[in-house]
Amino acid sequence: MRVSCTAVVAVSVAAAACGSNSRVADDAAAAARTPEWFTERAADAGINFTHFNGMSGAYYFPEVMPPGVGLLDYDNDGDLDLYLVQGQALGTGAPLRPPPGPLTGRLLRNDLQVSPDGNRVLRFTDVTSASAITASGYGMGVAAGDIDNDGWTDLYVTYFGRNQLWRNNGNGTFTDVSARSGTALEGFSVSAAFVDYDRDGWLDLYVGNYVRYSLETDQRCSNLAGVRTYCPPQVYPALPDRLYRNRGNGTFADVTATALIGREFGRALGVSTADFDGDGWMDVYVANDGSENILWTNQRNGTFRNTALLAGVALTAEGQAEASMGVDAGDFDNDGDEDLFMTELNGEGSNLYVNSGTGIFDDRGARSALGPSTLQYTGFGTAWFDFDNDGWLDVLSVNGRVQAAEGDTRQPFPLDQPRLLFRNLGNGRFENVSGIAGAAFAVAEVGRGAAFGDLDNDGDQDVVIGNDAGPTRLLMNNIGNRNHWIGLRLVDQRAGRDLLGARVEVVRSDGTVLTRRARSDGSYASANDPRVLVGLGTAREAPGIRVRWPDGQTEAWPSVPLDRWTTVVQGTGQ
Amino acid sequence: MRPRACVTALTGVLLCAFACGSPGREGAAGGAGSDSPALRPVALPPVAGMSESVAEQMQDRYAAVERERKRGPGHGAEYAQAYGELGKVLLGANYLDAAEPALLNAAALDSSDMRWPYYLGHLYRSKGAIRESAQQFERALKHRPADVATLVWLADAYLSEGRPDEADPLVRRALNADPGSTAALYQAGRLALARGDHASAVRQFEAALDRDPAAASIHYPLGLAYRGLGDTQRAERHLAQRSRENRIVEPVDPLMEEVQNTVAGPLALEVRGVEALNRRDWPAAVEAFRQGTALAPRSASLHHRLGTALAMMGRADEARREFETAVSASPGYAKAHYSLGVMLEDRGDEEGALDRYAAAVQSAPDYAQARLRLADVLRRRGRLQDALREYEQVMHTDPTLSDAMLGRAITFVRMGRYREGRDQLLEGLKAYPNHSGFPLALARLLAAAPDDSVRDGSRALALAEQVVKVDQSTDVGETLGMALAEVGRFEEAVAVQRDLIAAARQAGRPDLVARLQDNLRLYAARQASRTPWRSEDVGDAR
Repeated sequence: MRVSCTAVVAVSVAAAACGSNSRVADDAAAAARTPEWFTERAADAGINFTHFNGMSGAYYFPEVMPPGVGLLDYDNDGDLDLYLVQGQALGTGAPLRPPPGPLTGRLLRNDLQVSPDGNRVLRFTDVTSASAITASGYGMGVAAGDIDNDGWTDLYVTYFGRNQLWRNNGNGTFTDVSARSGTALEGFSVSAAFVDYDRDGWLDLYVGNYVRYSLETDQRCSNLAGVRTYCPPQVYPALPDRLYRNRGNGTFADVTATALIGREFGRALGVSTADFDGDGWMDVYVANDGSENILWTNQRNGTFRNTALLAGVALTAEGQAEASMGVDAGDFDNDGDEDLFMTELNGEGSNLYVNSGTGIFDDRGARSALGPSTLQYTGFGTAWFDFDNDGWLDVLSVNGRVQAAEGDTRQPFPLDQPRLLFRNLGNGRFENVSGIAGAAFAVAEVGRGAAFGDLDNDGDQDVVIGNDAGPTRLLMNNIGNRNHWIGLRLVDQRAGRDLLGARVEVVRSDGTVLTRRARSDGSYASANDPRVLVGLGTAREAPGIRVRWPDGQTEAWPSVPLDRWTTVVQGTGQ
Repeated sequence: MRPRACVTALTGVLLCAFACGSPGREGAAGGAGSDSPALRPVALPPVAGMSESVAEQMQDRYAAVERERKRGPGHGAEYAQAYGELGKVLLGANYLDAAEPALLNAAALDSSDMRWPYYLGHLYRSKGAIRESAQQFERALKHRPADVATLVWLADAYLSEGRPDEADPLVRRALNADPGSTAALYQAGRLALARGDHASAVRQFEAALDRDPAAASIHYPLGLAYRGLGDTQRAERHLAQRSRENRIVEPVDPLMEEVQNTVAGPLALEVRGVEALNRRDWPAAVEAFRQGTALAPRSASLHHRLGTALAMMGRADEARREFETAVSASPGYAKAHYSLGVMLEDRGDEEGALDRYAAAVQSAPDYAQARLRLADVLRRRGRLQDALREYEQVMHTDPTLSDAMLGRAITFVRMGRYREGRDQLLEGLKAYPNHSGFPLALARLLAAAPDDSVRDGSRALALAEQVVKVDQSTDVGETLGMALAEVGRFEEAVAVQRDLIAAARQAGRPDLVARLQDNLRLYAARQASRTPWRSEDVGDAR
């Protein structure tokens, strides 16, 4: 579809250039006027970051996994800043590509300027030095959340190595509190999620761990013909995940042993937190690579039980464990519950698990067309997001192989694949619109992390993409704000902390309800915009909202302004 | 690059350049003018880095294609066969892009042979090109309309695309052709599930399971079907029996078996052998692994797998020799040390087993299963402090190995640290609610611990009565007797003990009889036991 679309555009432009008949010229002119749905603008916005995975020809296992990307408003100026994860050299061999710059994670401040006429200029400034964040090591992913309820968003960076917790000091700087907090986990972590699982008002931390691996135990793998390739994850034993309970004093208690009944674990890659069974308590879904996924269902007493099997989300409908990299929870069918979308390895097809409302799911990957349409891709970062603000959650995935296609000898990293955009048709099915979404979808790169959020605060969701051993990309949404929308920042009263996990019901004038959730987790190794952006299509009446806060309290607001961002403070509603 | 590989690579390039002309050139070379189909260029994948045997295979088959091409027109069937054989080895080695034109050429040259579209169907399926896969299976079906494998794979393709209505007639045709086909019944179940007809899905999956009780892959979708009917109990039962092999139920497929058996590399043979192991075809596994070791005599992995297959056939001595060969080829090969340890332990040579398990964990410190066995042997041999250390390490490495926590608890008891043992068992009860070992062990400790502060007869009895509902083994019965005696119900304790002794006699277990009689004497004298486990029987607690 992408090729044919490009060909059509090329023919049209060529015909116009040749001065042929006026209809073709009109079509070409119309095409020139219609903006691309998404435009890649990283360089324009001052994002000049290239990830370094340290590959040296030794095919070290971690090389194919990073990086994640993070969105957070670290300076509380109302716009989303960026945290970009960086790697380092592995082993002693000379890297196949030279390092692109300083090998530390980068913090980029968003210096968005909005002029009175509404013109927006998006520009990022690297403030890493000023921030005092020194995140060197083999970075994998990032999670964002306010761990000390001071209103300033903190960062948890995962590593193949030792994880770091950076506390935001509120003055543009961060302090490494990893050791003091008790979260300096050594190992191989990918995704992490902040979630208040015990409703005590403090964000706890779930860390998904991948495999037990070291360079010393690195295995040599090959394909069936004996040609060297990256190893599959099953070669290495899985590492148990960790659950840390926030004590509220800057430290965390490792409650894994007592909270996760049965202590099950796999090779965790994606983590998504949501209330899957509708009981008002946050659950945790873990996408495990090559083994059964886990649904930690909150027992409301400080413990969790894995209910994935009976819930139907451990395996495919045929009982197969799949690779399961990126994951997100969202109400794609607008029936009031959280459904799951998960990206998979090529040959497997992405999974869509549809929630019945009680935490029981049906695998509808095939029926939705999402499964068959993604069979030829290896997907990573992904999220539910309403790119066109029509009120139906769409989905985008960034893709990139983990092993070279057979016979592909391009060096040094022939794993690139194009990204995919699927539009929700509102009837349980999706349409692949990658071919008409813009040139950015024709570009093949080794996609890994993806963070979704409204970077220019214009009412539609943009996407930041982390490419493995490649440049960070910024896909700016050009069309979402043609429809009406509301934007909500859900915060607590005391310090203005983003209340992750807050559930919002948007009551439209016709009585229908859209359900969304404030979250920064999901996708792959990335942190999303914690605010809630809800597309309303052509509806002109301001909707009302009902919010269920993470502590179980509910409030309502009869009307929320259309087409602007609004801060909703707990305790100020009805 | 080694000289032979260099020549090989160069030859590959030359062959490619020769054959890789435009379709028109091929057609012209085919000779018969307008009757020759246009053929696609076929290129071998780069052979650098391939195992020699596989590279040779590919080049031999490529050369065969060239020979047929040079013979000129009038040999279409042989030409097709040559392309097809090349396509098969490329497909078998998973070089799908290279296999595709070879098989397409075979199909173009001989449209009467159903194999070529059939293999193309599988090729596209592997690539994830489901629509193209279905088209090729449809072509194959035209030649053999009642071929069950083709019908099943085509139905699978339609179901994968969310097209149950197209899959339906194919499944019916497959069942008409072979009413007992497990794969066809399985697809019928999938079809019903896709349509939300859970009752019908249950019927079809149950029929498939009746047909092939060993087809563990059926249990999971059957469990989902029962769940759909609201029968949670049956659902959970079947879900618990799900296959760990990660495959769907496949039809009997001699054509694809031929492809899988084509590639002659050590890794391909190892994969073939593992698949045979998974379907419990021990002789086939042995055959594949033997061929693999012939090609790669220093492969510890192949020797170990061969040993495993031989052990499954009861050929213990041969198995042991293979494990020892694996270790001599690779002294740090932990799995082989572990397997040798298991064999020694089974023979009663615990010291020998200890050495092997220790070697396994020295090479692979995270090998939790080996460390657990090491801990158990240490405990049985009275090296309790060492056992404790190993259990703790297992608990840290793999918390799902609940037996490690149980073993640690029992080790505490053997050391006389009864409170710690009790506390560990209580923790295990909470952490692993489905592990019956914890309530049983706790009951026994609470009934018979020498430490008064630990004993709790009432709780012991409650636990034992709970366990005996689902397990009437000797160990459980003995625990019940201990608990009854502890709460003063000596007559009942005596009765239970006598029943156990009678059963042990009947089973020809004089060792058990002797053990049980000691406690019988105590109960008859209205005394409770103060020995939760004896040192020689504590293994029975797990």
